[in-house]
This record gives sequence, C-alpha cells and structure tokens, in this order.
Amino acid sequence: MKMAFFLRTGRLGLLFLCLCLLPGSQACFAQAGSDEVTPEVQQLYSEARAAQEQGDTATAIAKYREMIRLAPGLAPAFNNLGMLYFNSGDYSNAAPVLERGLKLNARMTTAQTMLGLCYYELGENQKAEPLLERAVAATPSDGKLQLSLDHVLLALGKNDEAIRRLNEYLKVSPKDQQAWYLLGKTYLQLSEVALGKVNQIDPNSYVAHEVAGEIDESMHNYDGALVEFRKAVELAPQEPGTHLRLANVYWVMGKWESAQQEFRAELAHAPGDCVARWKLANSMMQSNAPNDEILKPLNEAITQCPQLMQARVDRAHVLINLKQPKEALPDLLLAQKANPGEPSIHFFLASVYRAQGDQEQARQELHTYAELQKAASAAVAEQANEAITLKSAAH
Amino acid sequence: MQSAPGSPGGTSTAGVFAPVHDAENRPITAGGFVDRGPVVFVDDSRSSGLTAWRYSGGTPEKRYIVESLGGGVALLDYDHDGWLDIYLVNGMTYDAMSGKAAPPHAALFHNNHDGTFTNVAAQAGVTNDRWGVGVAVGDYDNDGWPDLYVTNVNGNRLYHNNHDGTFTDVAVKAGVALGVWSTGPTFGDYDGDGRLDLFVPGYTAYDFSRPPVAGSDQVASNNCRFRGVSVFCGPRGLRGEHDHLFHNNGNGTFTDVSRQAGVDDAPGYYGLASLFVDLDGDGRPDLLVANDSTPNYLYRNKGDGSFEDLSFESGYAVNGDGRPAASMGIAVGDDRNNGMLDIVNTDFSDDYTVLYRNAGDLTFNDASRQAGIAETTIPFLGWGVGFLDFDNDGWKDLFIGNGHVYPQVDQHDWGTSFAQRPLLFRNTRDGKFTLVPAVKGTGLATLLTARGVAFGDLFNDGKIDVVINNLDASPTLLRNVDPDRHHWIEFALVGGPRSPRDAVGATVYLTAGGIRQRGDVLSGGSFASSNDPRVHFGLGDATGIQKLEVHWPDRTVEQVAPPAVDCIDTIEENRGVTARFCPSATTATVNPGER
Repeated sequence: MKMAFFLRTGRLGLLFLCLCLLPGSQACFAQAGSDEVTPEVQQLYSEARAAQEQGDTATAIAKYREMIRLAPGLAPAFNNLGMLYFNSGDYSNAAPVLERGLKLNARMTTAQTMLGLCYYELGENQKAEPLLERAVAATPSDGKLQLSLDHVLLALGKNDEAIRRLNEYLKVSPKDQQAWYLLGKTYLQLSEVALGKVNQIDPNSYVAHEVAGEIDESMHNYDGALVEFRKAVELAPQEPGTHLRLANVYWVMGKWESAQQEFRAELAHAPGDCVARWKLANSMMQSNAPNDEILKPLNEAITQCPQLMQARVDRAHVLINLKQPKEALPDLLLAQKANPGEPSIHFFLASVYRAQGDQEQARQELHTYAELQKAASAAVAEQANEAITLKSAAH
Repeated sequence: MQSAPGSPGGTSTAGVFAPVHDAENRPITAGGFVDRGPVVFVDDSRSSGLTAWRYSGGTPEKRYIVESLGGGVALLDYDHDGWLDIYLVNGMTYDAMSGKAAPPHAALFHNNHDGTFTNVAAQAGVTNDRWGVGVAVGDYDNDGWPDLYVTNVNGNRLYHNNHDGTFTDVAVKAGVALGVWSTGPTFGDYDGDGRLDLFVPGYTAYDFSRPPVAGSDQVASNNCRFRGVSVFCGPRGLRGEHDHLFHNNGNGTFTDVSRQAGVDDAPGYYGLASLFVDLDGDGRPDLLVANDSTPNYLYRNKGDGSFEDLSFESGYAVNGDGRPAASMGIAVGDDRNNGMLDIVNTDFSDDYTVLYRNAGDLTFNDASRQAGIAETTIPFLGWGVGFLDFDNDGWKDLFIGNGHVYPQVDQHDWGTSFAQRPLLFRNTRDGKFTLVPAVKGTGLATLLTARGVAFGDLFNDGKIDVVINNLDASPTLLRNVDPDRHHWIEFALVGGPRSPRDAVGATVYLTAGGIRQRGDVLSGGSFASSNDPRVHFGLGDATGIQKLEVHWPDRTVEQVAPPAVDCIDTIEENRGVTARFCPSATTATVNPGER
C-alpha cells in the first residue's frame, strides 16, 4: 500500500513528492535505505503528518528533525523537512536541509527547484541561478519560476539574459502583468546604467545635464529639471533638443512666455518638429495671445503632422474664437474619430453646432461632454479623497 | 490625447494675462479713475454709521483658505417699519476661538429712516458669534415676518423672527444646523406646497486643528501656488463638502431630502453661492449653484419633488472655453427685456466674468465677450454681483464687487491688487454693456476688499443702493445719487394662501413705455447675500404703467390694476394693491409698515 503524503502548497505554490515510508513501496525503498525506516521512524512520520494536518508546523518540524537524526540517509525526510521550513519562510533553515537531501539523492528535481528558490530568497544568486535555470527548463510556463530566475539574473547583472528570457516567456504568456512590469523595470535599469556612463565620461557635458534633467523631470522635480536643462542650453544652444526639453518644463509649469521663447528657439534648429510647433501655439493660447497670431503655428504644425489631433482641437478652438465655426468643424470631426473619449472635443462640437443653429446636435454633444466630464471629475475627486484619507491615516 | 497641463494651483483661471496699468502705472484694479463724469454712487459708509462695525476673519496674512471668503449681507425689513435694515455676517479670529478674546459679532443695522443706521444685533440676538459666511432671508414659517438663515464654517443658524425686534436661533430644533462649511444659501418653495424650503451649498471639509498647508495630509496635491508663488492651499486638492436641500415640513422643522431630490452634489464640488429661480418659465423654481473651480450646477425642477441635473447640457457648468471657472457669485436678470433671465457668475482674476445668455429651453450661451464685459473683468476677482437698474431707464445694469484673496498680489506686477474698485456696467439696450467710469472721490472709485454685496432701496427714494461687506474692513454703503430724473416703481409682494407669505418665487411682468420688464422675488444669490425682497422697476420717462401681471408661486397669474408711478406698493395675492408709499407725497397713502 502506498501512502501518499500530499504536502500543502507552499508560498510559491509548489507541490512536492510524497514521502513513502510504508514497507513494500519499491519507489520509496529505492530512495531510502530500507533499514532506516524503523518503526520509530514510522511513528515519527505519522506524528509529523498528524501535526501538519492540525496546522502545527512547529511540531511537524520537530518530528522530522528527530527522523533525520535517526535516519540520516532518508532523503525524502530531508525534502519534507526542507519543504516545511520553506513554506514557513524560514529559508535559512530550509536551504541546508535541502542540500543534505540532494546530496543523498541528486535526482529529486522538485527539491532542486525548492533549493534554488531558497537561494533566491536568501540572496545567494550565484547558487540560485543554475538550479532555477533547470527548473524553468523543466516547466517553462511557470511564471513565478520565470520571474524568480529573472530577478536572480538581474541581481547578477545579467540584464541582457533576463530580458531575453522575459521576452520569450511573454510570447507564450502575454497577459502576465508581473512579467511586463519586471521587463519595464529591467529596461529602466539598463537605461540608468547607460545614463550613468554618460556622467562618467563627462559630468559637465550638455548630455549629462540633459540626463540629469530628465531624471528630475520623471520625478516631477521641475525646479531641478529647469536648472539642468538650462545648463544644457547654455552649453549647446545649437543642439536640436536642448531648447525643447527646457521648453517642455516651462510648459508643464505654466510659464507660458518662457515656454514660447524656448519653443521658438528649438524650432529655429529643428523646424520639422510639429509637436514643438503645436506646443508653441498652445503656450500662446494659454497666455491669451491674439487668436489670429496663434493660428499660424497651428496651421504649420498640422501641415507637418496631419495626425496631430491636439493641434487640430486647438485650431478648432481658435477658429471658434475667431467666429469661424464652420471652419472648425472638419478638425473636430477628425479629432472626435481619433479620440471619441476626449471631453473637450464634444464641447467645441456643441459650440459649432449651436453657432450653426443646430440646437439638437449641440445638445447631444453637450450631453456626451457632460457624461465624459462627470466621469473624469469623479475619478479625480476619488483619487484626491483616497490620497487625503491615506495621508490622514499615515503616521 | 496629450493636452496642455491647465492652470496649475488651487483655483481655476484662464491662464496668465499681461498686466494692465492705468496712466499712473497702477494696476487697473486699483486705478483707472477719471476726473470728471456722472456721479452714480457716493460712499455714505461713515455718515450712515456702518463704519462702526468691521468684519474680521483670521489674520491679514491669509495663510488658510477659510480666512479668505469673507461674509455676506442681507437687506430685510425685520421690524416691519417699511424701511430696509442691514444684516452683516462676521468671521472669526483665532484668539476668539481659543477664548482669549470676544468673538466678532454679526451686525443688524436698524434703518433710522434718516440716512443713518444703528447696530442692534446684540439686542436682537443675532450676533451669531461663529465663523460666518452667508445669509439668506425667508419667512419660512409664513407668519409674515422675515427670518434669517446664517451659514457658518461650523454650525448654521436659523434665526426665527419673534416679531418684537428679537430673533431666536432654532436651527438645531429645525434640523438645519448642519456643522460643515456652508456658504451661500437660498430659500425657495421647490415643491409648491406654499412653504419655503432651504438649499445650502457646501464648500470644503475643514479641520481647524489640521488646517490645509502645502504638503499636509489635508491637501491631495500641490494646490498651493498662484502664478508660481506660494499662497494658501485650495480649494482644489481639498476634500469637498456636499450640498443640502432641506424640505420645509410646515411644523418648524425641515427634512434633508438632498439625495432623493438629486441635488446632493455627489462629487463634492466647492459650492459658494446658490439661487432658487424659475429659469424656464414653468412656474417652478429651478436651482443654480455656483461652484468654485468645479463645474456649476443647473438643476431643472421636474415638479415631482426632484431635479434633473442639466448643468453641462444647459451650458452653465462651464464657460465658453469649456472650463469650469472659479465661480463666486450669481446674479440673474432680464437685461434684454425679453422675459428670459440671463445669468452672471463672477470668478477669479486672470479670468473673465461670465454672462450666460438664456436662449430658451434651459440653454445658456457664454456671451461675455459679445456683451462687452469679458475684457474689463479679467484682472478683477469678483464676488457679490447683481443686476440693478441704477439709472431707472428700464434696462437692468450690472454691478460687481471685487477684491482679491491673496495678499501676495500686491508684491507682484500682475496687473491686479488685493483691494479693488467695484465695477458698474450700464446696459446699452442692445445686448451689450459699457463700463461706467469711476470718477475720483465717488463710490465707484473706492478700493475695497468686497465680498458679499446686496442691492436695495435703502432710502425709499426709488433708487437702488448697494451695501458691501468687505473682508477685514468696515462695510461700504454706496448711496445711489444718479442724476437721472426717470420714473420708477417698487412692489412688496405678499403671498397667500397657497404661496409663501413673503412671495419668494413670484415673478412680476410690467409693461411701461413700450417695454415689458421682468422682476423676481428671490432669496439668496450674489455672493452669500440676500437682496431687497421688493421688486424694483425703472420706468424711464414713462409716467404710467400699461400692464402689471404677477405670477405667484402657487402658479396663479394675477393681473393687477396699474398703480401710479414713483411709489412703493404692497400687492397681496388676489387683493391687488393694499398699501402704497410715495416718497414724493407729503403723507403716505397707506403706511408702508402695515400689512
């Protein structure tokens, strides 16, 4: 009779081999020295099992420890004890136990996987790598194993290998958000390394200042970004992109006049940048420049980049202000097709239809605008409320 | 689709505008005076006795938003002597909150009938002694005497008029005390049962023990800058307070019906002013709520005890740029004499005051630029506002009280100032308005920190005067001395038996000189204030009235025999004119105080 001993799944959801202790089980005797399975060992096993079923892990561990003292060649006992430690998060005890078990029987693949994960948890990445590689090779669809291996590879600085493996995994499991997140972080780390090299080569170059500025900007430290980008401009005023980066920061900060100045400077070196041209026009709108002056850069931006919908919406707005609603309609219809969920488009469509006397159409657009705007406002208010609630509760 | 970041900071504005200066290089909000011109208002604040009182709110530095709102003003004849009295809401000081000083008191200035006023708040029992904001007048119990609802940051008052010169606060017993930051209330009989109901907008949550400062847990994000300068936080970024509609049960109590009525403001927008007013002519009061930096509300009264939110569909939620403005005050008026009420909302500096033209069917279009008020108002931060026919030519003009909220503006060349002059726009009768120049030494050339503004005929001379509650200063009484010799008429309406006794919600249509004008009896509006409940009409050169029609709140229509001009008439529902006071006569035909 074979007694299966199904071990509860550990924190990583692994199922382990059964421990076969009853006489007559050839497989078990193949693993263990049969003369080690004494009645006392069997009794300890039963007690350990009972304790486990009661949820009394400490007692089960004690029983297994006694078992391996009495039967030091019983590899499955080491495995089960290792599993108990692993599931309890006690990796520092799990690892040596599993090591001893594998010395007795190196073919226990599940124990190998478990040991690899222990090493990963303990930060012993060199040891973890080969074991997890074998584990992933055996079960390539196991996302958790894959991620663990990738974390190990990243820790060992093997970014390229980590990226390669992640990309391969994501081909078969494209909905694994954790994997995508890790891939993104990996690319970020790579970019940090690359950007760090920029600083090593020449910390006072305009490139180094741009890198520093971008890092500040990504953290919404616009004051810091302003300083760095300004330095980059001073060092390389003719270089395409330096004025643009500075202009963007001014734009986000609402410093419209300065933004305009820098966008113009950028366009002098990079006249084909339609986004910069649109933002120049937008800055002019924000600072309430005359509508006919705003129209010129908008027209140019759209001619360069007909799919730049934000420019089309701004142009429509300007045309409405200039009392040319009919001329605004084509832009708005194109923008609506591309971005049906953008509230402002529907608002301006309502203005155009109203100006044309089509009150019913105007009302419909306003209704759509209302629904979109209410949803957007509610989302913002909910986030603000959550933020305040969390901040109030934090200590 | 990427879009511009939008105006950063705690309030909504239209971006940044180049500063406008006058000939002496002063910001236009504190200058732009002329040496000569028609004198419309004189500042009678001192001679009237009003300067004996002063509004106090926090500290001059204005570190917190609660210190910036100021208080409202109500005009009411609390003692039935036929003359308007003045109620002024006060704020609070931190010393008073901690018990180290007496609290600033509200004022009830009794009209002495001779151009002077006496503060009787203490004797009347209406000193409030809380951090006050707004006031609305309404005879909620239909006993014929006006009552007061005063809103505060922490616990509102319902002052019941005891008919003997005193009031009793019954807010708790009535169930309308609330306890959250309440602002500009309005009375109106929304369900047509003949009793005034009450709407109270909510502003933001506010904890005095943990005021909102940059980086604190009371502010969601960095909303504590204006034009890049650190200022007090909010309202954006602060948790909003919801609005409340209280149904009058007819027994001295009210029931909160906000949710079932559909006006509970689920998102928690920052409500500052409100007004029950019939916008679609169906005889039922609709509801307007001016929200600060969040979309305004326009609720259509469905006639079944609930409202339909048509804020966006009507066009009132946002301005013509599709942006929710920092709305502060509301005025309604039939300025085109077409029977339809247009709406004006005041708002922040670096933004224009919005005139919403009524296109019928509850559709409103932003006509601010076409009307000629947009450009002028951009540098000003407007608060109390009202339509008034200051020159009695039969066309309603527009008055705005202004004053900034950030003292820091005086340290920068932004074209604005903390204390600002009021603006008076004259109706040019073609859908447009023109600014009346501020002549030096006159009322329009005073620099004020205006907040609540109320309009009424304080001296019973047929001319509309203005009372302004100024932040951290004495109030201003602008006496109308416009040199016109136009005729006028005023009506004090008394409703019954199925209309509210004070006739709030009634609409009067008067035809004279070939023009059909409209006037409404309203409670609330402006900023946190309440106007003279009498309906005033300027008649131009017309010496007689061709037609007079009253649409009572119970939806009956009464044709009233046209009375003589240049008088104040009392019209009682189904009884016609029952009292008359003609200031030009040596004796009154009937004592205006008698009801």
